[in-house]
Amino acid sequence: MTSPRLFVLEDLFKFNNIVMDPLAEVYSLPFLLPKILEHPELVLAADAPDNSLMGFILGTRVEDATESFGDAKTMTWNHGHISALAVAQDYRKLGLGTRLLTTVRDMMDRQKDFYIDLFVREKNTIAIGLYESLGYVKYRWIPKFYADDHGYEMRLPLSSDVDRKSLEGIIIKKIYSFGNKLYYLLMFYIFGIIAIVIGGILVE
Amino acid sequence: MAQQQGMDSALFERRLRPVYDNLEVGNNRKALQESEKLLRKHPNLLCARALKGLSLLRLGRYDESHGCLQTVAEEKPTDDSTLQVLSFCYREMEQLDKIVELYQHAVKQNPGNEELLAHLFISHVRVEDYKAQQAVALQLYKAQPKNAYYFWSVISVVFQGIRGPESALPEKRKIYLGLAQRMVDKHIKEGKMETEQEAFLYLHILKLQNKYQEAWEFLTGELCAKLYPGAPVSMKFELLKELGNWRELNELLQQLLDADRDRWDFYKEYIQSSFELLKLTPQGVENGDKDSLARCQEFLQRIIDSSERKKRGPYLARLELHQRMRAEQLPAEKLIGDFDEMVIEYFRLFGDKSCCTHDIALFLPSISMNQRQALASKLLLESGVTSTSLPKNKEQLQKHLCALQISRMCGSHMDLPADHLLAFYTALKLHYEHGRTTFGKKLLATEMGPSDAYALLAANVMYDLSRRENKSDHLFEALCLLQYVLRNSTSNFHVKLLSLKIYHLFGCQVGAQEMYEYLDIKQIQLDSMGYVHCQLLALGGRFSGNRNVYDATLKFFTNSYKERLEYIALTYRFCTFSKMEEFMNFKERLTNSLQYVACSVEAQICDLVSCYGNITQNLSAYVAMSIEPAEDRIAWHELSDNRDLGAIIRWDPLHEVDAAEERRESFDQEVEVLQVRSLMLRLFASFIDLYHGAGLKDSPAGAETATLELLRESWTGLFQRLRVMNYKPLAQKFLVNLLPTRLHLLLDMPYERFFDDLAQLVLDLQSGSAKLAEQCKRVGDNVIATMELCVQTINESNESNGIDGLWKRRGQQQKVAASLEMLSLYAFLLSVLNDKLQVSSKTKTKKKPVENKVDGPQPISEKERSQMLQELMRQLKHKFEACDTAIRSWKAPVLPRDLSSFMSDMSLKPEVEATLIGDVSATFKDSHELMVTELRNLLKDKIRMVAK
Repeated sequence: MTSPRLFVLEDLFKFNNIVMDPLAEVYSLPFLLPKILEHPELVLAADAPDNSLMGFILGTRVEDATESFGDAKTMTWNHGHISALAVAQDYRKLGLGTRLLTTVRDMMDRQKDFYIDLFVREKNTIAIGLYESLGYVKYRWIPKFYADDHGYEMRLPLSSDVDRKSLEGIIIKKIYSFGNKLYYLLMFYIFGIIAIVIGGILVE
Repeated sequence: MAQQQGMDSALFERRLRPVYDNLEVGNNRKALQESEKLLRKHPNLLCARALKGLSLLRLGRYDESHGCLQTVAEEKPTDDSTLQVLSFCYREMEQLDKIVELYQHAVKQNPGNEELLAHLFISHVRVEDYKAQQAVALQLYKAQPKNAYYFWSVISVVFQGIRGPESALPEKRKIYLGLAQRMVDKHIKEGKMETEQEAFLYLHILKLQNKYQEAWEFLTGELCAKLYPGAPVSMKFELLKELGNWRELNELLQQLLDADRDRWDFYKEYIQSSFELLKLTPQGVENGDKDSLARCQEFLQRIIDSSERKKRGPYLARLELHQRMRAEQLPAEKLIGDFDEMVIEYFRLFGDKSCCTHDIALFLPSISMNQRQALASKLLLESGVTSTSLPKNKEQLQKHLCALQISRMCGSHMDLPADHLLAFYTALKLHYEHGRTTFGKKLLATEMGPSDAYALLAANVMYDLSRRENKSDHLFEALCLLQYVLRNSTSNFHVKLLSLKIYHLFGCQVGAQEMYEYLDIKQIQLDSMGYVHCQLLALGGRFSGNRNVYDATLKFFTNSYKERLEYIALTYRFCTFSKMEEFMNFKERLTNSLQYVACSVEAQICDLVSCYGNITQNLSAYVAMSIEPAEDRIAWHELSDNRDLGAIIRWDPLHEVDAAEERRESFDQEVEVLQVRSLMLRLFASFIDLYHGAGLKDSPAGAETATLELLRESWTGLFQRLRVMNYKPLAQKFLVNLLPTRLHLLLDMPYERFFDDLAQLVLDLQSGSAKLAEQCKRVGDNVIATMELCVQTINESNESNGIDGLWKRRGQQQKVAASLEMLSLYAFLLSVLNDKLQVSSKTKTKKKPVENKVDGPQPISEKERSQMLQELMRQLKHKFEACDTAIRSWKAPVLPRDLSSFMSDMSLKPEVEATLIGDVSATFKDSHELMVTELRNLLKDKIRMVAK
């Protein structure tokens, strides 16, 4: 029963059944409002048959580069970004997340955006599975991206990106990610040793 | 010379850098020093002087800052950096009209400058001067013919028509909208329209004028297809409906539904259009043909039959069609089939989805009570789980939950005898535990358990039982169960919300605060969800603890208020015309939030009640509050109810629940509570100002007395009106109902008489009236009565503790808190009066001989007034001591049942249950002890305050 429609600001007063999930961020108004006001067509919500909110997606557009040519025409390259995607607990496993993501993707594609990226918690395996099923690729691993979790940047090339340039460097980034993980494991190990030693001294 | 200026500009930018840097990191003192240093060398550098003004503003030296900025503004600067700094300062000080003046001067000196004109336009936006906006936008368009500027002028004209001062006049509105349309028509004719937002704006203008045919032609025309390919299809629906073109709408929707079969919004519109077509068709004309409803049913059936993967949409649509036909006395059964059978089919297909309950609930109000209960029984049977079996898999568990929830919604639990309810509760607990241990392993910490809903349902059932018996033991047990669920499902906010509610119901503030913090309510949730806690804190037994909660909420609103102007400017910059009106409405809703206003008032009252310093410190704190008794700053008719009441899940019997009525009733009562609290605050402030403000203000001598008299009259008038209105306490039939407002507490406690007599006392003390002694006695009697109320309530609490220490606990705590609130405010007032009379007495000693010569009835002397006041203070001290004694003897709530009797009911593991009960009991004990400690500290402060 997916019925994506434009998100309206009054939805902010009744999205609590969605955002009280600990994985859904409650963004501040300074974060939310500029995105909603600049590209409102990329911010969608879905209503349940009883008119309660089922989910929403906060998409926006990031300007990557601007060049001016001799004839004074300006060319801009953009990519799409998904800042938030959340679905109410009672309306999960119904394809709603997929519907919201594909709707926004189609709009971004129509606007010739190059690719879409998003950030996701490492622990949020269900969300990662959803994104991967839609073609998103883990582009890089970001340590301590969230206050209580690491994160991934995931990317999805769009049709403008014929040569998949947005995924360039992914091998290097995977190596760096692996290195970062190794580094973190090493630090945990060292701190563990230190704790044991100090603990031992204190016990004596 | 031009090159010289360029060099100077670069040089000054480098010199100004340290000032900017220090301001950016909040080092305002250093920024001030840097700007002063720079000004010693270049005293006429306007930007440096403006930055100095900003530094002073940040340091709180408002008068100096104002003077500094004023002199810079008077020089009519035209350079961008100086103007930006001045604009920033005036925005901080909310002096938006001065920004307009600034840029008007700058534009006058540089006519046609695009950047300055744009800033001038935005400054008019901030003050909502649409007419001036229009003029500036046209100047901008002449200076630089961009579409953005042209449409700025168009939207300014539109706003004059729908939001400006003349928007209430239909003729004016028509003129403005007509002008806006002609402006856009001209642009279209010239082939200059470029963006989808421009297309949206044109459609919006046409719709505002009810020109639906023109809007339809534009929407379906070439230009719109090119500019606005993403136009929502709902726009077409809207226009076709307004035009009454139901046939085309019906056909369009069939095409859309063939392509996309799971769109509930499409199905609803489709069914509606079929009904409208039915009305248009004369009876009998289509003798052999099927009517539109039959074609509708055929269409739905075809979708159902041909869909490989089952979707909810067409099945729900069929139920909707059935429901609407029955509502119009049409033969639904004959055309579509048996309603129950279709619901059961839906349940069979989708019962394992957690949304199934919500879906089926949509159609329950349309059938009779008997039919509902029969349906509920069938669904329970269909789920395959009997009273002696357990679900075999997750899907069956979910179906069972759905059936139970529907059952409750159909009223099946209402007539069950108590022992059946108890058995049902035990079964629900068993199901919860079974589901958790069988299907709830290996979940992410952020996932809810699949069987949590059993526990939520159990809590509702136990509330029913407790209410029926007017005892707390069952509800207490439910609270323990919820805490158990919370350990297993740390992210289940439904459990937290219900626990929070029960803790408040029992008056356990520590437990409630714990749940509130666990919910992690923040940002805009403070407005929409704050009601679950903030509204219940006031007069809950603690004063200082409440302040922190209020502060977090007020901080959000204050920040939002300050930032609001920049967002509306953003919509103009982005030319997002579709969001402008929406944002303005949102901004108003946020600014006029009941939650915001109520928290502001309660926080101020809390501060007055809690103040503990010496008289000078207390008065300084009071002055900093900036309470203006003569001004009512609350826009009463614009208060907005932003509560999200739907966030708390409920499956209560549908025929007993009227959510809209409950919202309206509770909002009305909360507004009345706010009236009382706000007026009390202003009245009390007028008492203080009558004495404390006299020497500081230039107002005429009688002004403050007149204010006090007026407020007093309003105070008694308000209470009279409230008694006439005779509000009923909010219904408490179900756990999820809102707790009663404090309105009845305020009416039952002697607030009205207490403050009315206090007003008279203050006036008599000032005038030295002969009736002062009598008035002192009356006030003294009120104090005694209030104290006795407090002591009596505590004694009642102690007496009933052995029977049931929790059920009436909240009400008792509220009464004690209300008593102490009144007495604390009285103590503050007495300390102020005493201080002023002491000072007055000393300064007037020399004038006594002169006074003796006055003929006629003599006012009571300063000395005598002071003595009477001292007597009142002594009395109050004694009463405070009596309250302290009573509070010290106040017992913690006794558990409704002892541990062993709970254990005998065990269905969970005994060690788990024992730990749970112990933890919850400890929370109640801690809450009581904290409350007693805080109240006694409050009394200690007050005793010291009146002991001088």
